[in-house]
Amino acid sequence: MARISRIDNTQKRPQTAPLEERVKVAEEQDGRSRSQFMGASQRVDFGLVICLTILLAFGMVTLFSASMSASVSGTGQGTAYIARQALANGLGIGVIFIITKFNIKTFDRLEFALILYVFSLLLLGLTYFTAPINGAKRWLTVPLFGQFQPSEFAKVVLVYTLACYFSWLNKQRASGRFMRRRGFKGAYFDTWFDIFLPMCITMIPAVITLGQPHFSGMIIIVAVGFVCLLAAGIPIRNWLVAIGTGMVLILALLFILTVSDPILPQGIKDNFAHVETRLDIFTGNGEASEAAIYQSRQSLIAMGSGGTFGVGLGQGKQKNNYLPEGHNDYIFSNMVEEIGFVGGMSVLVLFLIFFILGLRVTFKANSIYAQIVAGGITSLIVIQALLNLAVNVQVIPPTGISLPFFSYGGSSNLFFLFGVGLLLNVSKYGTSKNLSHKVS
Amino acid sequence: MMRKNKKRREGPIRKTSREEYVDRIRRQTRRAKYGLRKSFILVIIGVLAFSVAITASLYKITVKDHKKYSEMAANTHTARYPIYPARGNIRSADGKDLAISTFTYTVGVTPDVFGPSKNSDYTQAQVEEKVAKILDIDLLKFRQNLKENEDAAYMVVKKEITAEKNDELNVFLDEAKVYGMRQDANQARYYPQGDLASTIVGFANKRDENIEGVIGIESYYNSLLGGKTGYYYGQVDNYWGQTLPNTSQIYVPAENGYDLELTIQSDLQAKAQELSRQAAEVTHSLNGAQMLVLDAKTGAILAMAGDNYFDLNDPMEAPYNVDPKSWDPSKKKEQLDYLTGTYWYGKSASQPYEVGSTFKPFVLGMALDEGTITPESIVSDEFVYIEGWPEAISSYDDMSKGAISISYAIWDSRNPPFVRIAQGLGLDTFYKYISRLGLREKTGLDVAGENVGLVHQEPQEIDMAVTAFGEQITMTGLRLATDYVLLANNGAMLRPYLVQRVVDADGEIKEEHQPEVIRNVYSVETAEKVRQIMLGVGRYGTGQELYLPGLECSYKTGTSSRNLHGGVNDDTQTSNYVTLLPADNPQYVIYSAVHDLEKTDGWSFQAIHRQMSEYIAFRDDFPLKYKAYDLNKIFSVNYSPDVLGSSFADGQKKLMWQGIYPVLDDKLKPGETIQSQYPPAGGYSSYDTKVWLSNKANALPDEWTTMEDFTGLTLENAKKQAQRLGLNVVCMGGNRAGTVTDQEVSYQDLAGGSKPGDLIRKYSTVVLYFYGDDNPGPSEDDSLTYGMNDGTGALYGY
Repeated sequence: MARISRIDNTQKRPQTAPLEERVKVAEEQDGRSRSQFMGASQRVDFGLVICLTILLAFGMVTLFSASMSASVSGTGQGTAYIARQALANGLGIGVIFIITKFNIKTFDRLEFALILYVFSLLLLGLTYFTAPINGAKRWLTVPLFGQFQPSEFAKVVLVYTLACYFSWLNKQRASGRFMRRRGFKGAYFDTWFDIFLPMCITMIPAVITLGQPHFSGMIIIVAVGFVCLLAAGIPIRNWLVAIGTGMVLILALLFILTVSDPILPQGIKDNFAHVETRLDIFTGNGEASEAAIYQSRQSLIAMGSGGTFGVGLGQGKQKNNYLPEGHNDYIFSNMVEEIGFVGGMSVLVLFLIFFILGLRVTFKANSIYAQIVAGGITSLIVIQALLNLAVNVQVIPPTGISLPFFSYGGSSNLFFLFGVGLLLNVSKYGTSKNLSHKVS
Repeated sequence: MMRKNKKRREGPIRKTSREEYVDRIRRQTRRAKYGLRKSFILVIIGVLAFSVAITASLYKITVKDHKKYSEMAANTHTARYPIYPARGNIRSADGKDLAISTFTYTVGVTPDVFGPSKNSDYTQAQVEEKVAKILDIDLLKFRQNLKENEDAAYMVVKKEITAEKNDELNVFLDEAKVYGMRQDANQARYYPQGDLASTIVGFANKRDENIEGVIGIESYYNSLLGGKTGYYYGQVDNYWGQTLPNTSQIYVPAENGYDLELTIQSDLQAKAQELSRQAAEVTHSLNGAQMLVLDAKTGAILAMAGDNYFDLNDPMEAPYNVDPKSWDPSKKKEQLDYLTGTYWYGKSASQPYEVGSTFKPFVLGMALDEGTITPESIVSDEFVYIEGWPEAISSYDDMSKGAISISYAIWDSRNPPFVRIAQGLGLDTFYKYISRLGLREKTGLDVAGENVGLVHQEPQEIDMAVTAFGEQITMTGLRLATDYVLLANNGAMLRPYLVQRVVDADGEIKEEHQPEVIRNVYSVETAEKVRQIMLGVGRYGTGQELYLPGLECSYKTGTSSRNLHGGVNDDTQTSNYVTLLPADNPQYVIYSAVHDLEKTDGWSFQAIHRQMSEYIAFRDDFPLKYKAYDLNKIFSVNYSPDVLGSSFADGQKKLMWQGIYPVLDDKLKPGETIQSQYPPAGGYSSYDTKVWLSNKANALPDEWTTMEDFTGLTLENAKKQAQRLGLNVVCMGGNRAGTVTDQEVSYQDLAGGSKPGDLIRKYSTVVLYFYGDDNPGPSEDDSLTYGMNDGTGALYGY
């Protein structure tokens, strides 16, 4: 009864007037077509667009400065890197335009997600058959496109897949399947669908990424997966069950590892040697390679010599092959050298603004799909940015994380922009309060 | 959707109405939204925490530690490029370059960058062609190398091009506006005179692009010669070290090294080297020979040579007395040690030895100074017996001459009188003078590796007794010569030196050596008296082949022996000679020694020593004044001995016994047999005749001069003219102080000419006739005019 009364309540709201009526009124008001009206009840989040524009512009300027000398030394021209990045960004913006033209429902399909998910796993798997670069197999070379990291793709696809999964689950439950049950057994049953299954979805790409080996990629995938689970708004009861189960599993695993350590194949241990190395640089345990210490030191020199306001845009010296990866993972250090503490903080603040705007869309989202996409993509970008900054300022051990919209890397930016496209799509179509059930 | 819902409604699990479905969706969504808001607090907290941590760390790095990292940054980006100064040159006193710096250039390119700039009028191909042409390299190969090394940051195109070539290249590079080519200057040291003064000048090696002296003046004055390295500090990139734009550069210019002007006179040095080597080769000395010429007024070293000299441009070459085939110092350590420990160093400063009787004049000086004897004193030559010494102390001939004058004791180098003189002085006074004579200290010559000889630390009477005639005490040739300078210089000891002037690149004198008196050892009178007494050594005493007729000089000879082969008796002898030229107002101190002869043929070495004093006397045009003794010596005619078929050494010795000086053909080396001599054997010879020797049969010297007229010249002028022309003269006739009345060339067919104006072979003998009776000159007066009478006339003839 209560349920029915709730429906009744909502039916009383003015915007629940019959669709035909609303369409008619709208057509009378501004002459918009029905289809347009159905989806485009709002515009994309203007704040997000502004924020993204600033980030991209800032990123391009910074990359131009940071990559120029490497570009000259590598290709003889100063604009080789920036041109590629501009092309990728242009493509990404095009993708955003396309995505924001479609109704949100167009994407909320588990089939689509599964196709992309499997595709991303395939790409990840393919990296195992490539020649290692710096001891890791993270890159795929695609004709005409160049090199790209499938893990970047996998991150965005994971958010999308989880969003579609929970949306699907939501609908299944609405139609009476897998409904939440009471009691411990029920909780355990629910947890399977709410947590364990999506965790499996997360862990498959995470484990493949870890095996590349790509520790930081794995961390981000797991973190994003976790955030998506949080964004799914799963009841605390299920979390508790999951945590309890998880702890039991971890204890069991630890026990097994301790027992089996002597017989563990050396290859597996070697695979993670680089993780230890990076931790050691950070903790100063001395085992780190000279190159790694050099890189950390050079990034400190870059930032430290920048001071409060920096040495001036374009005037940085560390980019002249002193700081390795200066246009890539360590672009932030180069940037701080040139525009100082103030410039560095403005980057952090920009990402925080992006986070707030992304959260606003997330909280305004009117469906599980929308809120997971919005929360997931926002978090993905912000977490990756913060981790990159944290590596640069040596809050966490060095690890290969690029700075979204800043670091050189056409493919990763393209995927991030694809993600932002989904986010903007949500901001446009997924925040109208009643749309989801109205259309269903 | 509708289709699905329908399907679901028909499904077996549960029937759900549309309302129910929508309701559930809505409830679930609301619940999820609620859950999201709660759980996302975690994400927000995480993001905020991270942001705070990043902010704090960034603040610490950029603001708090800014200074530290700025310094690190400056150190990281700043490159210091040394600018090497040009090393100063070394010149002889007569302006000959002994060591100079030359520059060559290494041309290199960055293949990828190399080429004309956009606004150049040249094409890439033209630039390549022209560069190849200027550098004289193969164009095709050059192009191929450019292609093969495309990715290299630097590729050498050509090494060691001259400064002129480099200038030519620069003109073209500017004109064609070529990028990517670099010329690096390489400084090199060159010794234009080869082996001249090699043990004095020493040589320098390249170390880290800078040239550093290894031995000799090059090493001793390295800092003056080397100048100061300049630096260029710039902020550079980490690719190829290119200067970064908009950065400041600091340029500290290099200061070029100073030039050094030595006291060495190249002609004297060359002669001293030649004579030393000849002496060593002729006498078979085991430890070579040496010769020193010092300026008696200043202590300047005018020549300092040993038989060991070497090409400074190739210091590792085989020593002259070692078979080059067995020479490989890069592999044989003992050979390298010989070079670095012995052969590269001058003997004069580094090898102390027992000088023997050349020390006696100093003992004489002590006694005269102390007044224990006078020049007129008569001393006993009876053997001296000293407690603790097994044998009687006697002289070289093991005879006693009884009571003799002090002069005779010097002339004939008697030992017992000097033992008695020393005893008369007493140990304390004697050794006081030993110290004052500097035998316990270095001379202070500006050369590395000077050594001090051995002097008894707590001397007994026997030590003093043997020291009195120069035994059981060692000193370097340099020390002995320096002490003779004090006799020449009125008793004041001067510090010997090698560098006269320090001059900067513009010719401005930075430092000029001033004669430095170390101490006065003898009174002016004492020094003078000793020199006077030494006059007779050449005329009556042990140094008669040292004698220069017409120029009164002080002479002294000395011989010491030692046991090198471990037998019962001493088996080798060292001879040394000193000339103070001239005696009354000495300008030069000439010292020479041959070390460790296995046979006692030190006498023959006197003719070699005389070559130097003769050369100087004629070079400086000292006025010659002939006494009856001199005229007798000059007008006594001999016949050249036959040395054909003799060995290299024996033949030369045979000549030298007659005072004849052998001049060697280039190819006549030790071990060869003498096959030719010119003038031929049996020809007229005089005390100062020079005979040319060759190892080829029937050979004649291929050196020519233009015959001049001698008639009408006085003996002095005729001698000087002959010396200038390189001819031998033999004087005949009775009008000895008159002028030449006639001249005649011996062996005219061999000489090639006879009349004035003819080309004539050098070393030819010209017989000069002094006919007439208007000016016969002194015939009875054999006295020495300088200072004193030669005392006891009975001593004539020794």
